[in-house]
Amino acid sequence: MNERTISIDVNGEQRRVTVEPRTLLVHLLREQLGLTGTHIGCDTSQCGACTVELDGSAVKSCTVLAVQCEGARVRTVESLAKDGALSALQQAFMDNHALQCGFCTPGMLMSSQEILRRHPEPTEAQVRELLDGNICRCTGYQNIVKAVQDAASRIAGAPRTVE
Amino acid sequence: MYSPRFDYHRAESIDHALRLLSSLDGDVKLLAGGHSLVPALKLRLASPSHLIDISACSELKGVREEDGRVLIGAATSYRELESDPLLAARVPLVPVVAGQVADMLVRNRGTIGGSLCNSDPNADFPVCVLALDARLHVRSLGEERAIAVSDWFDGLMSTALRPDEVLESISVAAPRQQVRCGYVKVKHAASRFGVACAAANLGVSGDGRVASAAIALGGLADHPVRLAGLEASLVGREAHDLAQGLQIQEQLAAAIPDLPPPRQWLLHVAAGAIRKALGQCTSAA
Repeated sequence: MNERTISIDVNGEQRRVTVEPRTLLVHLLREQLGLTGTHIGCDTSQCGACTVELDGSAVKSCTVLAVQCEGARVRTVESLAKDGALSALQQAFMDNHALQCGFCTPGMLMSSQEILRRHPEPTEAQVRELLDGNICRCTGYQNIVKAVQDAASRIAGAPRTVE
Repeated sequence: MYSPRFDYHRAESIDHALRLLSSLDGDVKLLAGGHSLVPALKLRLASPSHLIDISACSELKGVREEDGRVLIGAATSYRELESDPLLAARVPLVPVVAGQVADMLVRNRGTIGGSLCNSDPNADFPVCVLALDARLHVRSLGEERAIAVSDWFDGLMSTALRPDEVLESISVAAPRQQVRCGYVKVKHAASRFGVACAAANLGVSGDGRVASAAIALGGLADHPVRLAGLEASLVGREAHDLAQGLQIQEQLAAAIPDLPPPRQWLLHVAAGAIRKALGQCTSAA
């Protein structure tokens, strides 16, 4: 075994973990660190269910080797809620019925975080284009797009009426 | 664990990577963004003994202009290419193509050099750099050489890069006239990979006529092809309504005579992509 020990900041906690070079970031998060909020969907870099934030960018954690994350800063869906209170984005997903089975939701949230960083007031077209790497098999995206735009308004301090 | 076992080495510089390349035994692969290599490892389509991670080499990143050429570091991510102001001003085809690679999450990691070394026949950047007449600058321990993009592709998913070399940068001659460009990808409905990818890059002179034309097409052969006949028929035209009267599908059929079935359908789809890419060149006026 050619295991090695790496240091990695996960959700604000400095962790030292021992991994094989072939360990995927998503497996480190789920199996070694117990952070099972990050989901594995397709496992072929298509569906985005495993999206996490790596050094400030949303990435597919099934397509990143854990050893590449030496010294990196990782944020998972578990980092969104603060002291038990949902983030504005999570609350908007809930209020807009942007999830049914919820399997894709962690990835949708982590990608949406980046969309809101890039575009504080995203258009529907921008949300659809940038969420292209996240597949949902229940809702048909309508409410997901609505939720991201709603979250943008809430963060800007002007909540839309949710029907 | 999906991948076979391998050893991992993190290179701090290009020289460090080259020393590792020359000292390690067995099948050695370079890892940058990993968005072609990691999926291949997971499917056990690749089983290298060693990976050399070059993603931390700062010399391989960024865009600059020197000696009349625009240089792009091989480990520059699509995201960086998409938003680079120098490229937007000087080589607009690169950000246009970068913005159409896969999706936001892949663009945050994947690199231009990775795509060129992987040389997938349906990928975006092989088509893009072919349309730009780019040079690929490679280095080994004892030598540096520049490879013309026309000599880079060597059959299916194979390139002129030797096992002891690293792709350092890609350079494009800074344009001397106004540039118009277009890129159109017809995506496979399920995989979203390009069935046909067409890139057009035109130089337009002061009188509004096409002074130089490059049309590259990917997806229909082992590697992208340039369409010299079509290019010749564009030169001298006024740079509006460019596709008017061009026999695009006939030119394509002549340029790619051994296209397998569904031949007619592929020619039709590819001709449509080229027509639209030329339309983008026109609407950029």
